[in-house]
Amino acid sequence: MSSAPATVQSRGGVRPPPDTRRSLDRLAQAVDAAAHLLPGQAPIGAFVHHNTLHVFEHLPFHEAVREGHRVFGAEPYMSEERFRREFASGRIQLEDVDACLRELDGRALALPGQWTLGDMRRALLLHGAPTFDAAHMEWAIAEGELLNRVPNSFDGPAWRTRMLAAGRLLREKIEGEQLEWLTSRLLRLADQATLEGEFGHRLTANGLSDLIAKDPTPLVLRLYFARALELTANLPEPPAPVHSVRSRAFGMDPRRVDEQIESTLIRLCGAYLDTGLAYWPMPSREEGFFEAVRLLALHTSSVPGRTRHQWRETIEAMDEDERSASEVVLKSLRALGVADEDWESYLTETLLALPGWAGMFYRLETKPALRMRSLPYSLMDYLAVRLTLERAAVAAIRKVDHLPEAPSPLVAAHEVYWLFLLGGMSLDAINELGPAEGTTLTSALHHFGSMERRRVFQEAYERTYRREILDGIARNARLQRSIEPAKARIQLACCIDDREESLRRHFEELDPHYETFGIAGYYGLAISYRGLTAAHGSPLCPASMSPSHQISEVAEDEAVDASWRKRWVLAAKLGFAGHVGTRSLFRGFGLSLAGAVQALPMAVRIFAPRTAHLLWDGLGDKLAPPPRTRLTALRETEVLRRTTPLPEGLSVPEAVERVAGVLEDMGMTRAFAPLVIVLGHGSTSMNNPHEAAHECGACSGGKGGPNARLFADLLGRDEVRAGLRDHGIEIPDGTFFVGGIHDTSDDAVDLFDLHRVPDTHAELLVEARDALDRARAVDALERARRFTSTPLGVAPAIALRQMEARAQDLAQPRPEYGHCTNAVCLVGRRWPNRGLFLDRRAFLVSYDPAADPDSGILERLLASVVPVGAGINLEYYFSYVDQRVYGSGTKLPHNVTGLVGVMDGHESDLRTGLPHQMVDIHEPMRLLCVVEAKVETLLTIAERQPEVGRLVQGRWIQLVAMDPDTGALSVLGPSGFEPYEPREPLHSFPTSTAYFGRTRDNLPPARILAGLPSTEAPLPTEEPSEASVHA
Amino acid sequence: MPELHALLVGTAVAAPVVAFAMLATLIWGRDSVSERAVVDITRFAFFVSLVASLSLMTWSFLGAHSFLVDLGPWFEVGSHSFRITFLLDRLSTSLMTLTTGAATLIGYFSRTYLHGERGHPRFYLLLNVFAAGMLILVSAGSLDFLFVGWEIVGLTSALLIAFFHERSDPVRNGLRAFITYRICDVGLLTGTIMLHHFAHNANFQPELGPGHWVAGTAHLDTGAATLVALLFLLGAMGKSAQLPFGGWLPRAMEGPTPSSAIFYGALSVHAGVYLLIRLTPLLEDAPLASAAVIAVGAVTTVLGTLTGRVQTDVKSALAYATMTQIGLMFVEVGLHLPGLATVHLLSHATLRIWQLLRAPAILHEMHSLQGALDHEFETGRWLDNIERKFKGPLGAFLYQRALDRFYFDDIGDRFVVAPILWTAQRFAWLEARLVSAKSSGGVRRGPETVSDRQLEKVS
Repeated sequence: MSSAPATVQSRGGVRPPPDTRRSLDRLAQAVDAAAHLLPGQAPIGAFVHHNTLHVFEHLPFHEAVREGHRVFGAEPYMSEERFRREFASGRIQLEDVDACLRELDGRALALPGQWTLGDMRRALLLHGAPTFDAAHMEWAIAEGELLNRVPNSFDGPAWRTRMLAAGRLLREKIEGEQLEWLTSRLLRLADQATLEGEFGHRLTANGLSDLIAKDPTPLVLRLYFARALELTANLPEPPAPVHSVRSRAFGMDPRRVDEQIESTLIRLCGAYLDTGLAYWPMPSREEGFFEAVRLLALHTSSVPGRTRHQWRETIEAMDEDERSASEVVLKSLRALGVADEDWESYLTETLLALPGWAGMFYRLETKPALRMRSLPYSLMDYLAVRLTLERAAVAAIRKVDHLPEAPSPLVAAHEVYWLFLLGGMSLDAINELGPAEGTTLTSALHHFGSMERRRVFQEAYERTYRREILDGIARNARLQRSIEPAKARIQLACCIDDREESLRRHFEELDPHYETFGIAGYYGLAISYRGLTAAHGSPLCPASMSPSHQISEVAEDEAVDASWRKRWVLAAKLGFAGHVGTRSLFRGFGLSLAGAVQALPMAVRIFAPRTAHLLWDGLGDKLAPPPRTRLTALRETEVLRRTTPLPEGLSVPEAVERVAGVLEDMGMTRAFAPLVIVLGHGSTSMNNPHEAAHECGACSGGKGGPNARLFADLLGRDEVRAGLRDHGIEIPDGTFFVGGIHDTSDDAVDLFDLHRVPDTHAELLVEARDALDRARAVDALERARRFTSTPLGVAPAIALRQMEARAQDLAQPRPEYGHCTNAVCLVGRRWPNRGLFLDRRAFLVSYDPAADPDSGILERLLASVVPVGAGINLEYYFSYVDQRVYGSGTKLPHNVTGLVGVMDGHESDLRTGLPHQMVDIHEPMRLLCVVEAKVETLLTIAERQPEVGRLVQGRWIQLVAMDPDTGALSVLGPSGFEPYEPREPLHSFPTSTAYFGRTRDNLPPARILAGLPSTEAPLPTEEPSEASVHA
Repeated sequence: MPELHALLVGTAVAAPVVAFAMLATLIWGRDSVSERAVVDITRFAFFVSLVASLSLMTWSFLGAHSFLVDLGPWFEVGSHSFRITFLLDRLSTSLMTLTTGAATLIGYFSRTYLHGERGHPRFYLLLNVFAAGMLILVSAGSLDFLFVGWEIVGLTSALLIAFFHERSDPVRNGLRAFITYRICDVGLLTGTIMLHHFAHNANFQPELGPGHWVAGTAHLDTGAATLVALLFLLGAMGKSAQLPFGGWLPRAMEGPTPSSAIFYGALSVHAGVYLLIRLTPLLEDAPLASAAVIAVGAVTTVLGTLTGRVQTDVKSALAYATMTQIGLMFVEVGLHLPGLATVHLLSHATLRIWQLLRAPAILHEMHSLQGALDHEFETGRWLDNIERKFKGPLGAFLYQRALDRFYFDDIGDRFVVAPILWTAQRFAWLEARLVSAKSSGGVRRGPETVSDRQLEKVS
């Protein structure tokens, strides 16, 4: 990615008068305020996870999701129905629901019908409150069974008794000449003929007696409903819906305007933002979006209708000195009659009409590093184009008033009726209720609406899982404290990524003398990396940092490089010629006549993706074997092809400082094993526009291999080791570092620069590679259990082959599940958690509290890890709970546009967030951070680090302290940290495979005995019992 | 061996029909069905169909004969007898093989691609119907029977465009394709009736030419041949997205990627070309109609390629590329080069289905190319196409027209889609009046529909 800072050129020679200047300033402020609500997604090739609701991060979580609901119309939580399914399947337990209900106010408040508010809330949670619109309600009464049967969910003997009693009461009324009492109530619902039709009996004493004898329920429920209607008759009308600023300005439903203009707008945005898909680029792009569009608009024809005709006239009428984007926006706002104080709301609504496209303009304007073309990107230009189109549409189309539907009395009555049923009230009881009590019921219901119910469910959902996982952590730590670690022979460092949890566990299971570490996968090296085949450097460091050094991969032998490069470029030229050619006229004729030769590669690719990949790769290696390479690790005198102003390679002091920091962070400062392997990670998949979202988040959505390779390279150098000695880190001469990369999609582990491994380590290297091969195969098996295409219980080697095929399969929208199911972040020593099965749901951050007396290291770690972990977790949360607004929906119709994003089908907004296929097995819950530190330390850090503090105070994450000395857990609750005592036992299994082998569902933690020092007496092994495995 | 041929062609066509019936039974009244059962039934049917088609193709190329399979009368009207006949020759068996091959591929591809999708069984159901329709279309021995396949293909096409019916755009674009088909099908239907009128029959053989399909001659006078051929051209233009009816093609890219690939990359979109190739004898008797075919193809080709060059999304770019090559095929047919057109058709279908299936990988592919060709990209050497020569206002004018797709969509919307929707709505209103007059309540306006909005957009 190259970029040059581009400025918006101001056009027009005359300076605007002072009052216009003031307006322009205010306009800029309004645009800026509105723009912050736009999605923060970068071009899709540089996908970085972030909190989707970052803009509301200053608010507490529950308020922020409501704000998201208000502003974006998005779902705040999963649906109630879904929560109830989770409850039925045991993922939410009753005791947790009750515990969360206890935290609400006023639960002892007495309600009519021997109820307390607490009872009512509980009943509402478990049974819900169905909502109908008026039309549906009328239908459900007239044609459906709404008033003919007690709902199944609480039908039972109690209701049958209640109905019989009511039947007796009614018969007495009829026999006591009080038929009028009965019919007058019924006639509130419908006229006589309708009722008689519904009952199948006449509304006479005899008819009704027959009906009661047959089944009193339809009659009784209608009386309930009639009573509810009566009680709600005098309720104040709900406030009329507030019209949006846009609908007031347009005098009609804004969607009608949007439909007129968006097709044109989307094409223009696509043309401007394209980075190489169209091979006829938009003319005059360097003039800015509005100017480029203006020049095109002058040629537009009136064939497409009045809106476009009007648009051209508006644009033609612009004076030369009024063509700056902000002046056009200002003029348009005035023309549309938007009052000054409404600007921000209007602009917000306007931007959120197509948030994906507007957001891309804003992102590229504010983050020049993301630009792939050096063009002046400007949100104001986008607004200028959009508003001129809106103006034209409003002037061109006929206005139609959309009358809001009058609220139906049936809807309010149904709410009260539902409470009668929930409360199991008798006919007598409801007849005795007064109007005030009816109001009490309604208001109690409204104060515990769907939003509140889902909030309670969400808390209970998290609480159930929290108990499960904390029990496991506490029990395992207690067992681990009683045994001593063995001296390490091979150490393995991986990214903190939840996907590396299983690889580390399987590696450790092989031998007690294997030890693993977790560290943010850029290894403290904020570099811009240019691989052998890349044109430019791309950043390999967290998105919040800027690269400090340029590192290049260069061939060791230049002659080999030159000959390889020639062939490689030739192959690319042929590929590109074919790519463009098939879409053009004459070349396309030739190529499409020859197209049949594609049939064979296509068939192999689709029916045998892994074989196709191996053949293709083998062919590539044969025709153009890539040269052996090295990194420009340390700054040298030779000058390489410089593409950025960054220094090429690190100086020795820089290298020492960075490497020492990383070693301290992970607590790897002594007891070095003879062989240390450091792995970065990345992900390869075909046919997947969201590929970058599977890569290393600590490397800005890039492959972290070069960082690991550089880290190992630096640690192999004598001058760096000498410098480390001054930092008090003594690396023995017998310790060798090897860098590598783990592909989380096909589970390949590639190690770099193995020719440099000294002979003394050859045997150990063979052992390590063998161990990694075994670990990655079992890792593949553990991943495969989530994919129904792999049968349960296959051999690890077969699972590995299937994962390899999956990564290469064009037909596979789920090459891997990424961070799906992530829920936990553990910060602390590995030892207390070693042997604990965490189901690939935990970020594992190594940290040694013993080596950090002033907790400076912890502060540094939490400041970087907590926002990153929360960002990933929350992006999955939001993409899951609302796949329409926050997520990008199903992948199947996705259409790559301009190489910057995807649309749904032929023309739509740019979709942001994660697609359905990436999140479909996720459990949306806030990240549970368990940190091995004193409670006070955590509180201090939360105060000192604003970003951590915000996430903790706002409950965007759940925080748990694990005392480094005692291992005791404390959970941060509404009133501070509270001690946590584990209750459930921890089951043990000989190996991970023995545990996960039989199910595809989420698994509770378990203790895995393989790879633990044998001092511990083996516990009796258990099979996962039905109770411990959730269906 | 006539019985064997009848058996093979019957099997090829019947297999997807049987699979459809089985799936329909399986799905009927159920909330969820096993994906595996759905996929296995479909795969088996397509495989059987593929083997039968391959056998027929092998035979037709080795035996060098065409063959008419007559399965008996379909229905009779007065003196007209409609029979179910299949014409098996190199053209039809090649296309049968293409159809079943593509269906097998897509059936296999979609088993993972659509995994976990709510509409999974619906997709496979429609895929089976489509395969049956396409097989009837390419193997029918008469235009009457071809029309059956033609309509099935059109219907499944519209239904799959609207696959994601929870959003309004797919439904709207499905409706647009459907309306375009309806209008152009008038040409096919009228043409067939005219042929019955002039030739008392609409069978491809022997009326349209005895012997091998390329060699025959139709026995119509020039005026009648021209009229009939022009009507068939209208039919072909709709299905094969030729201007001015081509606007629906890029908009059809709303369904799941594999359905876009098989319909608009490979099969459905080539049906018009097949029809015209089949009618070559007729076109040879009608120079004026041939010229019209060439004109339509040439205009589509030139405007299609210009429009394709400015498309910034991969699926629209491929749609216009397809339109361009199909335009060329029309030119070839108009020049009475059916052999070339057939090869072009088969080969092009293979290429496009592959490109559309890989469409989501474009990012992956372009990034690696850009890495290698950075220098070329920056100097624009590899992009030095004709359109870059247009500078200044002419360039802006042409670019603008291309971006607006030369207004064929808008013309179609205003003068074709809108009147039809308008008429349909009047009838709907009338019906509502009649119904409500019979019942007691007043006229109630229903909720706003997609077609209301579509109408408003173009009015």
